[in-house]
Amino acid sequence: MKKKNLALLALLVACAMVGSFLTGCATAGNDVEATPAPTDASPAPVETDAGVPATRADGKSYLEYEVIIPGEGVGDHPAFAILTDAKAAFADIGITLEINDPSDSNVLWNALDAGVQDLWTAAWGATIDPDMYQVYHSSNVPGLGGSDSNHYRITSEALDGYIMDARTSDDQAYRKAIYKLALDEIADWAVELPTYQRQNCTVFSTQRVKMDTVTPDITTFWLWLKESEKIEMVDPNDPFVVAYQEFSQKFSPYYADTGYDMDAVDMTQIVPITTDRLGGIVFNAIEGETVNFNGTDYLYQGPADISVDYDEAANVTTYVTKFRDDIKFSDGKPLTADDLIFNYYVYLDPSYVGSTTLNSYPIIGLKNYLTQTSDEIYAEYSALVEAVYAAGPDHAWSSSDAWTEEMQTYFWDGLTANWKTDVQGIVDYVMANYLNDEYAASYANGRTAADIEASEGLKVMYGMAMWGFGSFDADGNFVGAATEKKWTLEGDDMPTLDDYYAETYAKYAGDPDAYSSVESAVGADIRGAINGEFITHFGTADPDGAGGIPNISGITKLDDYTVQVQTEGYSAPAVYSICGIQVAPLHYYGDVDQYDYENNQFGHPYGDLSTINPVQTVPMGAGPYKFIKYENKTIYYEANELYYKGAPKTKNLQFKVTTPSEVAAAVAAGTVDAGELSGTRAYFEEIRGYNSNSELTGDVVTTSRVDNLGYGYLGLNAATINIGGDPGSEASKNLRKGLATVFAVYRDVAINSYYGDAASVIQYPISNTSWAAPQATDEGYTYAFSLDVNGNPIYTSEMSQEERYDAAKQAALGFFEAAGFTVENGKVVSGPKA
Amino acid sequence: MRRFLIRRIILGIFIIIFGSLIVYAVVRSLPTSYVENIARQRSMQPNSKSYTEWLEQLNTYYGMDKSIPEGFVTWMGQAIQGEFGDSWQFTVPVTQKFSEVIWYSVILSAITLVIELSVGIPLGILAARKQYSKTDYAVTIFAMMGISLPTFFLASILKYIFAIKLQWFDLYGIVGRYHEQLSEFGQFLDIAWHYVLPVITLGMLSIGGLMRYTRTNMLEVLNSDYIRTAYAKGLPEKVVINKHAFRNTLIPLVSYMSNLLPSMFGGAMITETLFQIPGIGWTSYQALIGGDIPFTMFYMTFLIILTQISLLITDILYAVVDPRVRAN
Repeated sequence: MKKKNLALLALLVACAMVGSFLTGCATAGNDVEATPAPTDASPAPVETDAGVPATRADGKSYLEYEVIIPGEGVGDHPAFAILTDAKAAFADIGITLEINDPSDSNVLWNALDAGVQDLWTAAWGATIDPDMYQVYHSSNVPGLGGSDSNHYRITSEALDGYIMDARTSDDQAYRKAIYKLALDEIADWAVELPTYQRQNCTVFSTQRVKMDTVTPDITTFWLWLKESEKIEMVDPNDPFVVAYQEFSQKFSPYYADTGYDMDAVDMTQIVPITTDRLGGIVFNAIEGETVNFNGTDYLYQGPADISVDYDEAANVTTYVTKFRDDIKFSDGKPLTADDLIFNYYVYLDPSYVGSTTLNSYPIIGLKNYLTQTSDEIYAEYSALVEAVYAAGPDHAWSSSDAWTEEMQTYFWDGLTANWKTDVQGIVDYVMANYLNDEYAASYANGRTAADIEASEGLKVMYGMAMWGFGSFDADGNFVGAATEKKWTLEGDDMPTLDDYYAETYAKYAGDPDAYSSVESAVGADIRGAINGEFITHFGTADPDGAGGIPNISGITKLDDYTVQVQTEGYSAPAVYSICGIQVAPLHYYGDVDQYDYENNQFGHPYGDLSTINPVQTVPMGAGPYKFIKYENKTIYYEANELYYKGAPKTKNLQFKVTTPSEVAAAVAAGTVDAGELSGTRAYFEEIRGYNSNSELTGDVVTTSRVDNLGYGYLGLNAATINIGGDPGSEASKNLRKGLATVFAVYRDVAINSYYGDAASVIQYPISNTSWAAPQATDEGYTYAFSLDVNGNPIYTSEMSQEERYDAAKQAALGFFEAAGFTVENGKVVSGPKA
Repeated sequence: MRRFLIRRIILGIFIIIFGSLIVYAVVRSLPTSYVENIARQRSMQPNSKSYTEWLEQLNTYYGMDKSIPEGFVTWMGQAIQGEFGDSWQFTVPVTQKFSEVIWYSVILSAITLVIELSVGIPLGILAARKQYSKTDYAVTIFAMMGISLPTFFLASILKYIFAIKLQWFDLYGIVGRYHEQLSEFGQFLDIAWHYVLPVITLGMLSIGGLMRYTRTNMLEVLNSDYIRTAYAKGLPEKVVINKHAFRNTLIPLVSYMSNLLPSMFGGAMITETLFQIPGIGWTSYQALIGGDIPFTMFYMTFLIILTQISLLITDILYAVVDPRVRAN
């Protein structure tokens, strides 16, 4: 070949190599594993001869764990460094940690909903009250119909007890002591490692905003938009532009589910309760109360007076909300008690699917309203259905029975139907999550995933095999585990759903509770479901209960501006929910023609909220600003001239969609006047660069920093990280403690490098802005996961950083050994055996 | 000519049909399934139907239970009548969502195109005429920079210099803070002012390419015999370049521009994201990863049709520009 051609060829080859090298590098890092669909149970673990499973309950290895971190695919998360350091440390002791950093954070949220995650990092935003019900109570494990927030899947009776106990008292010292017990129990279960407490950082434009009109003494509970009606711009014609993140455009007080949408709606709404800079309640808000904060007296005023009165003898708490008589919505119509009552009946309607904790409080008459049965009817039919169940499925009905034949048939048919639906759910779950050639080959006797998918019968078979309800004999026939029925799997000789149902029925001797607590793929309570249906079906048909329950007896209108709510017992956080809902207008969101308090009509039909949905895009209320439109990635607001505290000084407000990393730059450039950003070192340096005095507050940018009401954490899923399917056993706790101890020791360095002094490492999973947070000076305060399996401190103060890391690894090995792992030469070699 | 046109149009129709079939098949085969996501969400709510029931119901509702060819035929049948359905992701009719976002991208591309043509071609001609001179080197280096710099890098530099340091422009957004208070003409100018930085960003890239291309072709033409003849005849430089040389450069230029029409509607996702322009780039990306079939199908088919039209126009333009083609 000619020299020139040779040279060209060489160049081409070189380019190809460089190109493939570069593309290889680029794609190497992003292993986005979309985690699978529903729920939280597992196929039967693979059993070894010794009887103790050799794999974890969902087929995963005891030596491999996955942590999901929402770092946008590039490790942009404060906890990322902790994970990479821990990964190396775990590798030293024989455990493989896989870090999954998906670019789409929905991968994490879906995994949490389905309960398939091992470990994950995230952060909580907290409420003013330290109530722990929403996140740690066992009834809030996803899928059980509660708040679905208990992603740790911690189910501790002791913890449930502490949580409910702490609600009953007003005495902060008492509650703090109970919460300390609760926090210790959470630490014992080792489902959560608190990582950091960061600061909120708000930046303002010094040049365009009159900083002396921004509310002084911003605190965790008194955010900068609190007195937005007083904010003035240097140029009075200037609109006030705030940087915000992308909106989901669900601008409805009932259905907004992202924080940004909620904030957008908040500008148009008011809530009855008024709180001060420390989160305390201002009860006489109409006249106003003066409360001192850090040496300054502040006058707090609000739209309503609140009163909370606990009658010990009757064990009833009464909440009374009394509004001012001069509040108007932005369209001129007055705000009355009817509006508040309308809102209660929306949030408490059985078909409401937005998020609220209102229905977790025992409002008198609420249960009756939801089930449409009175207490007597409810008790009567509850006992009846239990009696029907106790009589058994083979009971021949006779007229001497307390129930009718129809009831008996209804119950047993319903129970069987629910059971079969649940079994179908198992098949669906298996098909969605475990259908691959590897599993198919071993569990389906050499078949492929495609084979199984093509046949309904094979799907049922696969569902049975994965859950341990059937296996293959030497001849290649599929045999039911309990009934020993055989299917050749040729032609039509396949197991059907009824066959699968029969297997489960036989295994549990017909006991639906035993079945659903162990096997159900969706965590359903099949008997509970049919019980509820039974009670509602027959209870409402009962002549004594005819007409159903027309209202919630605990909610009453005392006069045109006063509403009373009564609950059973006393619950300290209840007032924040009961008096803290937004008072959206009845005439805008509901149907005025369908509202008649005297005749038990509340603006929408019972169980039907379809009239509320269409008004989703433009919220309206009695708040300081009116929502005009969302256009060109900006929300335009105008001042509500009728606002009860006086028309806002700045007539035009805008929320402008901004990339989070550009907030400070946007303030400096004049595109926005204010915005929030996370307090990382990088941003603080950038801000210092804009100000001529190189400080955080200067001639261009003013910065406000307060502790964030929330904290960051690393979660461990008790349902997937346990020994032998028992999340609460000592062995399981030791396993999780072993993992947590290694992560814990790497927190300080990682958080410091990401946040600098804008965050601190915390030792208890509670925001240190809360009065219930244990302080370092309190008795019994310990560093998270600093004790070894024998209860002795792992670290001494003389240790160097490297020594601390080694000590952590040793302690982890101790925990793993106690959990039943085999440890040799400083490494874990295998999971638990007999 | 007419037969040629008719053949081209018929061919074009075939390509559109098969192109959209391929797109449909690919989108249906995507692992993300919008329908599954919705079914799962809804089945998790209290007292709701099971996941399988929801899946069946939604599959029927969205037409996903048919096979790919069947589903495609259904879609095609409706599309021909102009019914493209509602977007699943954005819950408004596809055509409505599309018309909301497309014009921002089209305007951006159109302005960029005008600048590209009016700056790139003359610069290319200039560089060709003064080959190897300082002008040539300067222009070539400038073009190379434009081609090599990634959009986000260039955009960030422009934003830093012009928005933060000089404060001539807003950092991002297509409207300023006073937009609502301005008159209609004022609003128009406001948006135009906000387009300056994005247009410069996109323009720098495309000018470079066009300039290089023009220069190369121009050089080739300038070295040919008939140009030398023209010079020998004593024609002034201007006439030689603008009348004789330039016309011959037009032919490859027309090829270069054949992708013009579809690229105008293609959107520039990175630029749109960096400047917070609510255009088609970001919208179609969201639709695609969300598995929104109606929107994706509409948009892809729209682009296929545009491409066909564009190629057809190019073929016609060849005839206009090149007399040899006309003679054929």
